Amino acid sequence: MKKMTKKISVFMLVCLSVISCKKEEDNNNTVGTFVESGSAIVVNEGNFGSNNGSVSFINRNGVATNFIYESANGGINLGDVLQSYTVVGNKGIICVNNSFKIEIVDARTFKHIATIVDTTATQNTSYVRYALGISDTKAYVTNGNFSGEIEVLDLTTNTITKSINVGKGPEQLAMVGSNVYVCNSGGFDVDSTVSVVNAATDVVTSTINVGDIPTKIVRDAQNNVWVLCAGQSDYSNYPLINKLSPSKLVRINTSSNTVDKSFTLIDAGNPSYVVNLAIGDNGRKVYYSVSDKIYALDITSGSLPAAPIIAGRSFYGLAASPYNNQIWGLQAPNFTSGGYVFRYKADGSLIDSVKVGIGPNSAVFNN
Amino acid sequence: MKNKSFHLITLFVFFQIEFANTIFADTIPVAIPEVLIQASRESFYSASNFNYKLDSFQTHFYGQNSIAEILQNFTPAQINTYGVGGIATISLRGTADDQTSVFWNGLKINSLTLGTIDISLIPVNAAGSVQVVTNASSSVLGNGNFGGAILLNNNPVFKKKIDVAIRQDIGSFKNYRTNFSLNIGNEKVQFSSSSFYQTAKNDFPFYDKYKFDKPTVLNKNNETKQWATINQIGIKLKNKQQIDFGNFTLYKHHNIPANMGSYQISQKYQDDFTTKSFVKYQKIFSNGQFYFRAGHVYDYMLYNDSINKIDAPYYTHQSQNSINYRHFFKHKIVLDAGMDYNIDIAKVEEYKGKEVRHRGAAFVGAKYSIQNLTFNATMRQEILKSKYIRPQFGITVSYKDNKDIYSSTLSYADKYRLPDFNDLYWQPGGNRNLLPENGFTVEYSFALQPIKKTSKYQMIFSNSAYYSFIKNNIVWTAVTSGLYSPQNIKKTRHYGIESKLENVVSWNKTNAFRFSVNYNFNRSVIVQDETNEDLNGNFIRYKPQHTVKSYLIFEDKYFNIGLNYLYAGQRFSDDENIKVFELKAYNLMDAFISYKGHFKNIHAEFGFKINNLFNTQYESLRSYAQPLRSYNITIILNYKSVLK
Repeated sequence: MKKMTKKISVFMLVCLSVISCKKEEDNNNTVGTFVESGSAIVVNEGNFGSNNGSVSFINRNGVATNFIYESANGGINLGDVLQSYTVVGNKGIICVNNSFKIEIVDARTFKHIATIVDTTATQNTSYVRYALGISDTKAYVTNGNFSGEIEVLDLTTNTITKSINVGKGPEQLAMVGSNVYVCNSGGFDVDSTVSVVNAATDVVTSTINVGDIPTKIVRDAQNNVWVLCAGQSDYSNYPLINKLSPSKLVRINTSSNTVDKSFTLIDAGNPSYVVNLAIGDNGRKVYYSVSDKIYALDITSGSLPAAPIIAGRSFYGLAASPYNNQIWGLQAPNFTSGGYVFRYKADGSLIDSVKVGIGPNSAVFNN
Repeated sequence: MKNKSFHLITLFVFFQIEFANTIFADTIPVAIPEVLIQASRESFYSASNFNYKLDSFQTHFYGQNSIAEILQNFTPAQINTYGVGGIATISLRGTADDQTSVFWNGLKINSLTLGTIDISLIPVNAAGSVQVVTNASSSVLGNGNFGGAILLNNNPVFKKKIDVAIRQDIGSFKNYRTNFSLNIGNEKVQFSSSSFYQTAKNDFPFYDKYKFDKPTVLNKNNETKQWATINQIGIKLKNKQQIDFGNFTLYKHHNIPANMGSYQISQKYQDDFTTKSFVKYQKIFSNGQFYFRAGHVYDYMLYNDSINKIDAPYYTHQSQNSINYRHFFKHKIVLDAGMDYNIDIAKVEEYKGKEVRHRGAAFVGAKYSIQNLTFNATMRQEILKSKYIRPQFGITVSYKDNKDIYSSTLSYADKYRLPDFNDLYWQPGGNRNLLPENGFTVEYSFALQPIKKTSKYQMIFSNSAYYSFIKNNIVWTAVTSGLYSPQNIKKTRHYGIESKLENVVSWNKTNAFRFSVNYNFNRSVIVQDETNEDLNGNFIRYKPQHTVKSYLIFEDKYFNIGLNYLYAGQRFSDDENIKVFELKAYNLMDAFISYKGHFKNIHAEFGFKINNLFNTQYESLRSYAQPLRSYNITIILNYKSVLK
């Protein structure tokens, strides 16, 4: 019996060392890590002021593992209001908005690497929103709800090296070539522009007028960018929300840095609401939501689709998988209990729903 | 379920037997105490319920701060503190913070905008009497009260006397508080005044468990500066008439620190200014009492966050008016009839205009005593424009034996709560179509005092069991992408027991040994959440199942020494009951010692108190830092004389 146990132990040790070697050889897209191809990281922002933002991992089979940061880091919580997650090389950048910090983790294991904070009077981490990888060692992070700026991160030292002034309340960003397009939402104010930053020189090269309150941006298969402008809203007749200025979906031609397509999603005076934007079908379809409907717009189309592909549910976040073309709607019924990811096929038929953490706002897919 | 039914039936049978035993016994005429004749409707019909009353001894040792500390230590109330010096809200019996009402001399002082009460804004000396009414009925107290009600009253005692006191407290974290009080009067006029001024840096260190390696962090931007003055005058007029005026004015400036885990350099602050005034006229007839009370509550609050350029002022006015006539009939039958008329006004930028609400109510109540039994029945009809609220009823049956050894009470109370103004008018999201929350509570309680009152050892054991059900709970929930609005979507159930054992050994007038232990079991659960069935059966967040509160005090002619103990059980911080985010149970102990000196009419006292003796790290609410061990020194000089 003892001999048998010894044999089994030796066999297991050999197996483990083989597995370990295999993992070290293949850093990316490895099954069993959080960068598994076809899987996704879901950002659960949590309840404001409660330090209960979290990250969920959904593997390629749709099985969710919640609180992966806490599991990887001895139970410590990630922070207050997780705004976004971005993978840059082997690192993950988590913008933790109300903790005033940028958390750097190992994207494969979610183990803590560093916390980037700015405790000077300038508070360059005072309102961190979204990150974008420029290279494996450099990233941009949008910050500020009035005078907006981009913080330039050096991912070798995990420090902020400089700030680039852009418009008010910078939100999402997208990169085409060496140009980075930054939505200036206005933050707690109103802005209507997209700043174009040269990522090589870190200089703003132009500013493009798009529409009121641009918040989301995606890059399509033709290397143009689409911007969702929420428009200003009047809530005084709530539950009717009247648009004071129209909600728009605009395309910026990145060759000329001009708006070459502009669709009005909601006219001024109309009661609807728009929040979400995603790119799918290998960059050929733009998904956007208006109130409880999700529409799919072919990037070559000259008009908006008449009918939604998904209707009847309101989502707090929207994502499309490049792995299997699924459309994910992220639902946050409230901020005191967990939310759900509703997974749809590309044709809009519901596959299932998966329970995640509190207040899911986005999903980031691993290719 | 079978067990529950069995207990209810047992209780019912017990009361039937008690009723049968006593109803045919001889009538013993008992004079109605003056205090009951003069009592307001709220006090008169709450007196039969199971109440917690705080005595001067308890308020004395926690007199340096708000009534939050006293309620936390000596009653089953759960106080949720947003850090030292910050907001503190009160929750009773597992209900929400906006489901407990607080009354100051009959005026309801809960926030019109939030429904809650910041109990840190009520100093200990705001009231001579603090009473927790657990099964407070909406038929008596109106809107709110699912958990219960706190009654803060100043009842003048017309005696020729003078009582002047000055008190200085010096505490850790540069906490200084000076208090002055004066009570002077004769058989016709009584005047009382109490004022304080407090400054506190409150920059205590704490371990920040939300940061890597749990560094010790200083709680910056946590200064508090506040002052208050509470004045009251009572005048006895001819023909058994009395008129009382009272005013309570407070200003507080409090800087708001960053939450735990945050790297923010906070520049936030909150200013509160409140002034509450009342005038009460009453006339005593040979068989009755009439009173008219008019009150006004003005609250101003300013929240400022210079980083985010937020400067949000709130202005609210509440005019509360009440008339009541009470008639004492033969055979110990008492009838009350009264009316209320309130005007609520709020001016808040996010409401996009001034909002005004008029409310009226009619009240009838009856009390009948026979032998050892007392019956209370009350009914109230709220009159509110465009919203119908069904009549509210309250019934109480109480029994007290002739030797005062055993007493018990069974009560049923209807309850409702109007949506607060933020729920109705906040933009975006406010929902003008909200229904009032409504429900009921059934409570059975008893108290046992088996030892003769003349004995040196006294013991009281009391126990209360309750069951509450609340429908139409208001919850802010997603209605469309990224937009949230309050909806009537939740049903909740709250039940539990509160047990208290009090022991006093006194071998002469100045020496006593007191020991008290209070155990509370509460189970507050979500019965139904219409937006998320997965939550059904879950515990309501921040409501511990088990709490223990205890004190041990030795009193001597020259010194007092004592310990206070609090155990708060594990709590979930979300409705999902996620283990990762739960708050751990904690134990807190305070210790104090004081030396007393007497010279003729002058009483001097020097006290020293250690808070959080064992340096416990704990959270009352998630992410709000609490201090470790801290100290407080108290010096009191008191001149007291009964004038001839």
